[in-house]
Amino acid sequence: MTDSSPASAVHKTAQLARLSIGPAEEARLGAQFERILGAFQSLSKLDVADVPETTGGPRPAEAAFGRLRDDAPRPSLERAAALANAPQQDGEFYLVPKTVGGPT
Amino acid sequence: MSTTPATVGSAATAPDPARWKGWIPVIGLEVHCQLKTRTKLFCGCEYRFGAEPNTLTCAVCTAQPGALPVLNREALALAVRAGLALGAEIAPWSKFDRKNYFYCDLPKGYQISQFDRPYCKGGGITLANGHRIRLTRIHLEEDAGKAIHDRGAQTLVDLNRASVPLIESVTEADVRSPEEAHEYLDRLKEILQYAGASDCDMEKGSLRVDVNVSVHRPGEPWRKRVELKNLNSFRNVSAAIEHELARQIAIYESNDPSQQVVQETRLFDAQAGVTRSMRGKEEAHDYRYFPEPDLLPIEIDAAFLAEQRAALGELPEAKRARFQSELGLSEYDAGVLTSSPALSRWFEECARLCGSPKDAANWIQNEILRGLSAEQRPASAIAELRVTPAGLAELIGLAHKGTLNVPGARQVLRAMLETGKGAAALVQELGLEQVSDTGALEQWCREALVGKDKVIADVKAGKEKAIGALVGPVMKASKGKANPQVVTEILLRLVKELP
Amino acid sequence: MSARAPQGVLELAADVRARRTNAVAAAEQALARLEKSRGALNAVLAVDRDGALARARELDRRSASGTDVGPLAGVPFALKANMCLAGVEANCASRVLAGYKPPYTATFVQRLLDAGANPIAITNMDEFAMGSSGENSAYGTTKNPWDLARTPGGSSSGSAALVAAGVVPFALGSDTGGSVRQPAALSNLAGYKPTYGRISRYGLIAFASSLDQVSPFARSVADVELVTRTMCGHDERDTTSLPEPAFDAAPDADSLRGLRIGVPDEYFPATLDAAVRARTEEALAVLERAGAQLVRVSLPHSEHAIATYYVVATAEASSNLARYDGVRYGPRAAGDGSLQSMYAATRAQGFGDEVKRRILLGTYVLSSGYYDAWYRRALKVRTLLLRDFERAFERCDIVAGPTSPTAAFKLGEKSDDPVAMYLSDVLTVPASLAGLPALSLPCGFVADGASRLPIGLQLIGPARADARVLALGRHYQKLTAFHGELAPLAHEVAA
Repeated sequence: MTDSSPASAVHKTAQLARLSIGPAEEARLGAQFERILGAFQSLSKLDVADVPETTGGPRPAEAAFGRLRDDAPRPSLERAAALANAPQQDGEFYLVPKTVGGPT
Repeated sequence: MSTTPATVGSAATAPDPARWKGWIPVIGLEVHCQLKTRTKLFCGCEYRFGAEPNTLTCAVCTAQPGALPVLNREALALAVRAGLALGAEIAPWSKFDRKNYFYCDLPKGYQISQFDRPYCKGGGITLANGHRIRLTRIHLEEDAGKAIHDRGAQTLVDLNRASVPLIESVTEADVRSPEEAHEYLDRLKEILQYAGASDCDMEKGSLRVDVNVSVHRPGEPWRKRVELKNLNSFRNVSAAIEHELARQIAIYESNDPSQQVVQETRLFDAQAGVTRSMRGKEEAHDYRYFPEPDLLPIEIDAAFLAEQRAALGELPEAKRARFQSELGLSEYDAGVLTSSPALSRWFEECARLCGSPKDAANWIQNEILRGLSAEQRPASAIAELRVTPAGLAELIGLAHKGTLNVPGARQVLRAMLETGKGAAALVQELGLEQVSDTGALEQWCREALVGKDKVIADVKAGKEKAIGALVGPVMKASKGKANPQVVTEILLRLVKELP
Repeated sequence: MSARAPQGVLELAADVRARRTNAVAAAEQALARLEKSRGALNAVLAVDRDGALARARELDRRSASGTDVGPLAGVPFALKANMCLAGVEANCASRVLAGYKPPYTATFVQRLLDAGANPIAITNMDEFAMGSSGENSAYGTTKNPWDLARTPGGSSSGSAALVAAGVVPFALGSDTGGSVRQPAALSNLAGYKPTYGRISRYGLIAFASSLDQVSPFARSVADVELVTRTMCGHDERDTTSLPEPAFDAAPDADSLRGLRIGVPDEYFPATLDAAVRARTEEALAVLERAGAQLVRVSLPHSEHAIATYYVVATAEASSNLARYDGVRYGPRAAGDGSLQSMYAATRAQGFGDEVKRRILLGTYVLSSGYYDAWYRRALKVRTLLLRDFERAFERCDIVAGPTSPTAAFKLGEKSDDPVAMYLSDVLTVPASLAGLPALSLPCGFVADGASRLPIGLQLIGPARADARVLALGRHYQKLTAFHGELAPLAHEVAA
């Protein structure tokens, strides 16, 4: 992201987030983006060089080890139940628009 | 990956520079192996290759809103064993991260993987030429589902494979030739199979290889690197590398500015034997990795590590050494018999039961493996045969005792392979018991001597070898069941008794 | 109060268990009240009438045969629309999940079912729990039973409104940055966010995984405590759930002697609404008279809590909401026919404005070149906020202050200004970021024109001190009667 204008940031971020957004919405969201990030600027003033990160929820001290799962099978969903909510399926597969070449 | 070539491995073992017109290949391998667990990495669904589509899924692996991952202890155990087997260092603390991207085979819109704190670092494999391929890291991650593009007007999505456990091992760019790549993969596969971590069956997708290839001039910096995908056998891996090296070198040698090596992903077309650019798929990736908040960090304590170390058992290299020093096998035999864990287990069991490792080694190699190879089956298929290690040991015992001669024993083994029956029963059934009963043999021998005055004279004159001419007819008379050694002894005695 | 005034959880369960009434009658009464309030409140997205009556009949049958039908026997309740009950639509008040019927039941819902409670309805909310007013629903705004022109608070707007209107004795919300405590304050309810990990999140549709907690509303603290204790305890399906079983309730105390209540300077800023300040100070005075010692404490990084919260929560949300891609559930939009354009069109049409804003913000703070400046930095400031509380709890047992900087505001008042809306979470997000147990409970009213609007007191405890926080809440409710006062609409609905 070389162009640092808020609208441009919105444009590129929307592509990454797979949100199709028109130019008018882009401009409106860009202005809001700028206001929101402006309001959050205070974070940059703190000296956090030696502060560890809290990742995930605050965690109790004890090790996670006991909370792993045994390698014991559980029943899977009936295929019909798994596919029931899909907007397009053929009883065996989820169907999506033809795509080749893998993820981008 | 480090940015400097490996310094390990002597120049003497390096491939011939003339082969690539003075260019030096720089090759790194990224290998995904499916861990051999019963259930998936983060849910209790079983996985079976080839199962009906979308029958092995649940709320977790289809990313139903609200469902959460829970780590499979066995997957972690196998991953750790793989790391230990490769001589790597297991991190006492590591974590999962989300790798965010959109694709139809990725139900959550992110893959749970490990980014900056993999569970395993370092390690490597030393090739036969002494050159060491260093591992940068191994990390644990979930597989994606499968998208099928060649059936009908739409892409079909099967999520059975979604969330199956994988380890991804990444080498430094230490590989210097297609052959080294092939050998590295052979060895990696062997080690992971020994560790019980993975089946490493490329045909079933439980091992997948991506390759990074570039070339440079001696003393010059590395050049642009091309990633090769769609490699479905080790042979294709080396063929793809060979081709890609030639392609890059040809471009550089052409000095034609319209031709460039670009940093890209290319797919190998095995049929045409060429790599093709995945054009249009080069949009810059931004995976937005961040720590997975639904899982706790992975903390591996000393007890767990010790448990995995103990479960690891003997690795191929150690086994090869022991087969030579303890069992007296040749280096070659030890190599063959450790080429798969199933085979080495089979051999050891048979050797123990028959008490003669050398005989066991010979019978397995000369009779059983030869047969498997004729049927184009792998050595590991020995475990699927109708003959058990105990069965072969029994047969070897019978041959030792002299109950059977060698051609008879071969015949029994064939019958054992076909019927699954025991050796002793088949010897009876086929009437192959060697006749060592001197009464019957003596009769046949007397008959054989009739009219053989020349032979008798030669023997009496001290040319004992001449008696050999009479062994054949006796064997024939016994329909092959006579013990040739006993026959020789009787014949000699009878000649001496003659006036 | 009329003779048919709504009963609390404990009362109703006791009556059902003693067979003074039965589960069918309780379910029918709740369903009738729900229909009566439906037009005015717009609090409900789906009603499971058949399921509720079937469960009630089954419970009555078992009760008649002498089976223990559980501590919540026959008590009707409502679920927020981000909670999974197999086969009942959970659309998160979003178009992107319209029609989604989960194939499984959340652990916490199952535990309530096992205890005899009876879900009758799915409630309205801010889309994907993103909002503080209920106005971000794709299915219309929920109204406050105390004043129908005002917000009941959010994002658990429908659940708050239903309990405040006396339709059900309790309802579940989810609290990520205050989404239960703030509506509890604005609706005269007890709303309790337990320690992070107390209640399994399995089956709670994620907004921000490291912050989300299932949190109940009821009129009394004793009721929310019973419901919380029924739901909590380790769940093998949620690794982040605390390893221990449910906590025990602390016994009633005769006085608060020996209890140190910390009052943070930062929770009483100059901009605090005067009535909120007055009611909170009065509540602290009540506690002091009961024997508690008030201690001044400081939570110096509180001013950074909103920014930290919105960076962390939106980053997680941008990833959590990536699964809404039109492949496995929800409606699909075509786009130009390619897969990636189908995604972009489905998501653009499916998500509302606020959700899009947060997905973009979250994507941005995680993206290459911005991660360190925003996301990593926020994770570090989160540590500073945690340390603030650790230091404060060296000097006190519980922190107290207001829950919301204002009483219920008018619908539409802040809906065009995201930053103003975010600031209404200023007093609730610190406890969320620190994962601490926090309770909001009624502490009085403010008159605004013809309206009488409730105000909430917030009590925050150290991690895992859930029993302590709830015991203090119960004690306060013995000394005060605010929680017994019903919204005008509740009287109408009960009539």
